[in-house]
Amino acid sequence: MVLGGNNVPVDQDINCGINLIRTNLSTEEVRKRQKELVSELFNKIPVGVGGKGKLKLSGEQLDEVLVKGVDWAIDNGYVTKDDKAATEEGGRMEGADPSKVSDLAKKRGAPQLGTLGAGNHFLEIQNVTDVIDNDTAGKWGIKEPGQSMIMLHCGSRGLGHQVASDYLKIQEQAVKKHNIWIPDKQLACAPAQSQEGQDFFSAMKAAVNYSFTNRAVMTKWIREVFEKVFGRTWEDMDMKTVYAIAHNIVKLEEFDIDGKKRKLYVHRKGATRSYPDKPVIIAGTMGTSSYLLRGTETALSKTFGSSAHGAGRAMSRHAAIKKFWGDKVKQELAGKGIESKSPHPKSLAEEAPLAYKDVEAVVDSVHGADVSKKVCRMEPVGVIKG
Amino acid sequence: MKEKLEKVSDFEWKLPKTVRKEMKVNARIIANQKILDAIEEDAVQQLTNVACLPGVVEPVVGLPDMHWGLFDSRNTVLPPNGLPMGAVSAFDDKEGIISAGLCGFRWE
Repeated sequence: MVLGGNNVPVDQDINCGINLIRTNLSTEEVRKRQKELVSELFNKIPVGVGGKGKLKLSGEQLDEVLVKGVDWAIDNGYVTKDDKAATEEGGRMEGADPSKVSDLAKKRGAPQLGTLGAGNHFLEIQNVTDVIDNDTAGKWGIKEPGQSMIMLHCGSRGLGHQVASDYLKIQEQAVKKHNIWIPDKQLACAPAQSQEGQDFFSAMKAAVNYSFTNRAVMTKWIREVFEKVFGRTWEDMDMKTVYAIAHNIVKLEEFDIDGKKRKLYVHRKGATRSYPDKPVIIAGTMGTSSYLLRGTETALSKTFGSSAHGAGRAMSRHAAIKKFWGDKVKQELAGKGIESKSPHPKSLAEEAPLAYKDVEAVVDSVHGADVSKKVCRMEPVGVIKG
Repeated sequence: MKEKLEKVSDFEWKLPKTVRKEMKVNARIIANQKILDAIEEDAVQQLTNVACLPGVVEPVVGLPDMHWGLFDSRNTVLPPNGLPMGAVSAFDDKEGIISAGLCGFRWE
């Protein structure tokens, strides 16, 4: 997006991530109500670049979200302790400090809690097409192909973007101040133990907590839409969180390095955590498949407990808009039986499936390298595009 | 730089630190042949940048969805803070760095 004629980073999305929610509904049942479901979800979940939500948080409430994350969402009746248990970091990174988050970031974040946003963010109703690892799938409440799932992909909205923007500027100065040799002028960083390093870490944790809460709030609304459309409670439809995971995050984690335990600041930039037997979620793009995988021991020794996060763009958004026409993308999705809704046709075009690398090849690579193993494959049935 | 990748297995490639004098550690890319062919030279170059930073711990990891591709309105590429998406890097908690640009960045 071009703002004021300048090319600006519009989304440095701290804790952009995915929540995967299961159901015990069959895709057959869902397809019968597909149009209504997509339409109701589109009405319930605010979308778009500057999209504002229904919650009007006071400064105090926002600070509470930043510190407590998903615990705030539990206290306020959005999600349950089970959802928290199925969230990376329990949906709450300890040590988040709202005083390290700028007023501008808070101003942007206060009206946006419970909004999907734009770019590559989406809400999909998916069909399980293949169960590859039956044991693990069973443990996670996935029984067989034909089961309906819900995937929510979004992040920390304007708040996280502003936190990253603020600290990129601060860290550009820190590079000079601490006399760090960097190979690329674009690279902003600060010594781990410096003020500039630790302040960013505390502010980032606040943005991480905001994002986990954002997805938790929307989880409740998604459940409400399903309750309305199917006339059953969400518990009855077994709409539990399979897992909620972060894609963009810095964490202090312990690893065994050459036989020695060491604490490391692990930077996952467009990557997911892959810990032994924990869920790993790799999102495809609109109209293509997504995968649920399980983490491995190998990942701990090869990739600092990490795996891929998505298909990875093969084409810029701008190029995609030029090449694909939004209405045509919608028609093509419809041809595959996928109902889609977005605030503008352009949003569909910029996320056209051909603009991405082949997700199957991405998943084959991580599976082959044993840094995460396939559990099941899903395809979209309905898409809400931000 | 890409031609200097050494094959470890059908799904793993190593970029030895000897390819650039400032590199402190090796880089590793997780990719099958199809993905490797699609990975941009610039993204591989960026991995070597990360491998030069203070306190970096072996290896710097490129994942199969790695891409350099962030573009401006004229479709020219802007470096996303000098680092690729789809990457993992780890730094010593005392001697290393923390980077606001290393934990996610999306331009439009």
